[in-house]
Amino acid sequence: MSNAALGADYAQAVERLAGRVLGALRGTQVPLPAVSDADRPADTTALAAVRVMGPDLFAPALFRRQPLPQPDRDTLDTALRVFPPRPGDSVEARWRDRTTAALLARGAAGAHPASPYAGGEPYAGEDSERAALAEAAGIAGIAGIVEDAEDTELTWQERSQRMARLAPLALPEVDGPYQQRACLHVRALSRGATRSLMRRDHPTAARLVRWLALAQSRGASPALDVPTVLDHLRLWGAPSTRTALDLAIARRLLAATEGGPR
Amino acid sequence: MSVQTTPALSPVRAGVAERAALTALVDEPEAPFSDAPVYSPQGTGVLLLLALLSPKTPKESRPS
Repeated sequence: MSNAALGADYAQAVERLAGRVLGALRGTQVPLPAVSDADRPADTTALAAVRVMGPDLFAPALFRRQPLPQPDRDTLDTALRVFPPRPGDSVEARWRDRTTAALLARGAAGAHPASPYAGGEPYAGEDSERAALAEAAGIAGIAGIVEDAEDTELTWQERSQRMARLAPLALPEVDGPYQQRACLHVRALSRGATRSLMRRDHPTAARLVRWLALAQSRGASPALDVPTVLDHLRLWGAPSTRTALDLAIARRLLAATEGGPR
Repeated sequence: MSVQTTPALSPVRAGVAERAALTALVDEPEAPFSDAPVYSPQGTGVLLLLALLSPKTPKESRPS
């Protein structure tokens, strides 16, 4: 299979999985895809979709304040084994993996003891990929401090681009340096969201509005009216299921601000 | 979300092509933010030509 065809397959799998997560967020019970059985090898395409979605898979459970079911944790664990984090991954990919690993480690008391990832502690060994996951799951070390230092000089355009790629980190019950920066730099993110709307880059606008909704839910004051922007994007129609998921999560974050049920 | 339980197998690591396809999706580049549109006087001639080439309004046919 050519690389382009493989990428297209993975993209379609991501859209299908995003639809399942969106359904779970809205109240229907939909499972993650079955990983493997005794008769066929692991579905790599489905696992790739699980890896791409990353922290977004936890959204329905986080809004309900419930742990991710064990079978879903096993699926994520297998996806991390098949597509392990690597030291050469981008900053945004490492932070998404770090958040995924941290969420997996939460409530891991009942997790499968053989799983190196769900328990939050990888096996002792010299495997560089396990070391990368250990860095992802651990408290920000030297690399994290360096990243934080580089982040202070970003323009609003650069900050908006980075935060758009990190939109899966905008979740309830999740905190960290980027969640704090979203609250601190609401004006920059508001500019980025406004510019995306003017350029009709609705996927990027949805990701930035998701951050603004999180910031507003934590007491910040965005420079634009977030509910109105959400209505505007809803009326335009989401170009993809992932964008629809971003909008749904943003709306639930705002609902939490208003004191309603998540 | 619940998922059907499956027998545990040792998963096979993704190959290079699979890894590259995944990385392209994870690091999907955002559309770069453009500067404000700049006035282009050369575009005026193109607009005038398009106006001249635009279809004429149909003439009303007189009843015989």
